[in-house]
Amino acid sequence: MKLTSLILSTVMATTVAVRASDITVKGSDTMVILGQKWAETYMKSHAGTTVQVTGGGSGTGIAALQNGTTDICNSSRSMKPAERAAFLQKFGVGVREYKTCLDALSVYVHKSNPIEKLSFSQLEGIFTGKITNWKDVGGSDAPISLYGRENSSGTYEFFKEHVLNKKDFAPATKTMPGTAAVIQGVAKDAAGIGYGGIAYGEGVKALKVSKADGGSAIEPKEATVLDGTYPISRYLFNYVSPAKDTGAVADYLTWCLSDEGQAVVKDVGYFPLPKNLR
Amino acid sequence: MKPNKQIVTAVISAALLTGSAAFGQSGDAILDLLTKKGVITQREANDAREQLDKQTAEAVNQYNKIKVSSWVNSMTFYGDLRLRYEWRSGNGNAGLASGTGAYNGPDSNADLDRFRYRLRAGITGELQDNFSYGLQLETGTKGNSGNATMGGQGFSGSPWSKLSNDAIGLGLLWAQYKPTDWLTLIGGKMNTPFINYQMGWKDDIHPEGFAQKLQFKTEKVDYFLTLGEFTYNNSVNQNIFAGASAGGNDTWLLGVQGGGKIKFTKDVSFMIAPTFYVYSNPDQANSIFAPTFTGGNITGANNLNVFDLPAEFAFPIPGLNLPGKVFGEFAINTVANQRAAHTAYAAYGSQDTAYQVGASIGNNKKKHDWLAKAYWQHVELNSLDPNLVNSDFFDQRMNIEGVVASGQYLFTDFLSATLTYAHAKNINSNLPTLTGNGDLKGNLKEYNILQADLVWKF
Repeated sequence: MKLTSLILSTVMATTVAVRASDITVKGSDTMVILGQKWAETYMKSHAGTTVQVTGGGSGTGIAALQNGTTDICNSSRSMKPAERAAFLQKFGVGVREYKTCLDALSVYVHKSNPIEKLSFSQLEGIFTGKITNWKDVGGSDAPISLYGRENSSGTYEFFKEHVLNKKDFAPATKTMPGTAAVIQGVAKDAAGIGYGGIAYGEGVKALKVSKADGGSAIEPKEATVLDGTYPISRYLFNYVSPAKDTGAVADYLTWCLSDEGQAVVKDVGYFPLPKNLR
Repeated sequence: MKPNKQIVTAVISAALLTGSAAFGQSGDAILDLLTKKGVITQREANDAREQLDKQTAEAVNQYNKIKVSSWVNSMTFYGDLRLRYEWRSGNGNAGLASGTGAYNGPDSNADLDRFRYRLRAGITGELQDNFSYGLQLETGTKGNSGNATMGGQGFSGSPWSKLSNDAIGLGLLWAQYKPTDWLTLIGGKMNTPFINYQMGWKDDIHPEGFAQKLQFKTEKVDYFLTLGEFTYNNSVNQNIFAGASAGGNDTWLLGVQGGGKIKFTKDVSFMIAPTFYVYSNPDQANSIFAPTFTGGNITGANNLNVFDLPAEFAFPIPGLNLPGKVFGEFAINTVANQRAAHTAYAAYGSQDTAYQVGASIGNNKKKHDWLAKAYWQHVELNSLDPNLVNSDFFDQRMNIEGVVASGQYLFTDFLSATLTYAHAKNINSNLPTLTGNGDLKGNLKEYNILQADLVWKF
């Protein structure tokens, strides 16, 4: 019995020692596939660390960072001044922001949709409900079916600010819990239109987008994001409290920006950060 | 490019030497530029930024002339100034005695017009550990109204003297604790915590006591439960040093409101909030429970167990891109028979119901918004507490029904104009309308009011 207890104690102590760090990552649904792939790849070469990744939206991740229930927040939008101020007020120090990669926020339609491009003013009209039929933008005579995200989504906020000029989405927009669900909806709906990160674009068509009516319509791809011509480009972020940006968490964040971490970014379908920005 | 630690050190040193809070912002921009140019990594920029933040915070603390305690997280100053023209008119009820304080006999007409002003100024603050507080001062000394009448002080050696009409009084003073997302505890003199449309409780009547608010939100429905315990009347007869008490207990108004708001979409919702009000210690001698309306004023708060049901349906108006609302309130005094039995109108215990039905279109949040609203209101003699009913619509009277219509326009985000007109008649000409609390005297068969307001918010 004494030997058994000794063996059990040793095993438990060893298990505790080996499993040195748990890192919690919460936030962006846009980044969740990237976050999970990062975690999987990182843990293969860092056996002592467990990284747990969940979504819920950028807003959910930022709230979790604020109330201390996550180590790292993934966000597909920059934190707002009010959020940064609230963090500063609570913790006495500013939040740490790490740009992790680039994304082309794409507008998706069904593969059978004859439309190839839309301008910002057309996108604003469509997603605010002013334009309700595809024929009004050069397509077939069919009512437009809108797919979008919840308001806790960073993608929702980014699209609303940069494309809709902060106007509200049309009430008829079908609210989906993640980009994958948006894509699934559009893929089955010949009249559907939605938006989301470039990495989710399987089974649907990504439209070219122009800033001005009649202007050059730009395809969402790495080259046009890097040279700044694609008009709905964005960074994807990791946020962390300075107090937690040490040890295993700091190592993980640094690894995400390393060549190995950025190779995962490319694998998933987003665009690696240029070396000079890391 | 290999990060240049010398450059990072130089940036931080310049900030420390300068010691200027403003350098925090330009230092941030420099760090962003250095990162973009690949001179430093994001981590090095974050390290430097943290040092700059600390330096900025120290400079702000050192040079800031306004000091607040460290446990104050935020303070917000707010208020509004209102200028009003008002005309009220009443036709006396020939069939009834005029009642206490009458200056117009039966079948006569009374007109009252005046210019008024009102100032409300307050502060709310958030403290650490989920505490907050609020203080509001107001003009006006009559009842709960914040209105002061221009030239209304009377003449005491000089016009417009600073007499009681121009006094500043305490409108709100409350403390709040919110230990969780779903529970809020409030104590003090507060805005009424119950949802209503000012039929049975005018919004400038701020109860004193305690309230507890519980809420639970799902994706589609917001549930809420509000409890209120308000000292309606503190008895002056309790004096333990004067021998046996002369009798009398404190009177409390106790309320409970539960309900929910169903959010069908972002713009379409339905809210309903059943409420129940009762009064503790109703059977006692103090004047608040002495119903005297034998043709006189109705002031008693006796025999009032009021069930109230406010509800509203909000929806966008098709084609106009404007919000619309249909709202209403239904109330019934479940012991109206007992209330009537205390008066000279004992046969009218069935006059126990009040209701309001209305609609609005538009918004009043920002520049160039406009809001149009109209409602019908019906208040029977024994239905509600006469001390709480609306003093404008209709002159704090019972046994009266009529229509209210208003239009509001916002010239800027802070300046608005509102025009309101109401017309009402008595419900039953055999019953009195007056409560002694209105601005017109006597029992009325007809009542009109016109108000034109300009309001500046700050």
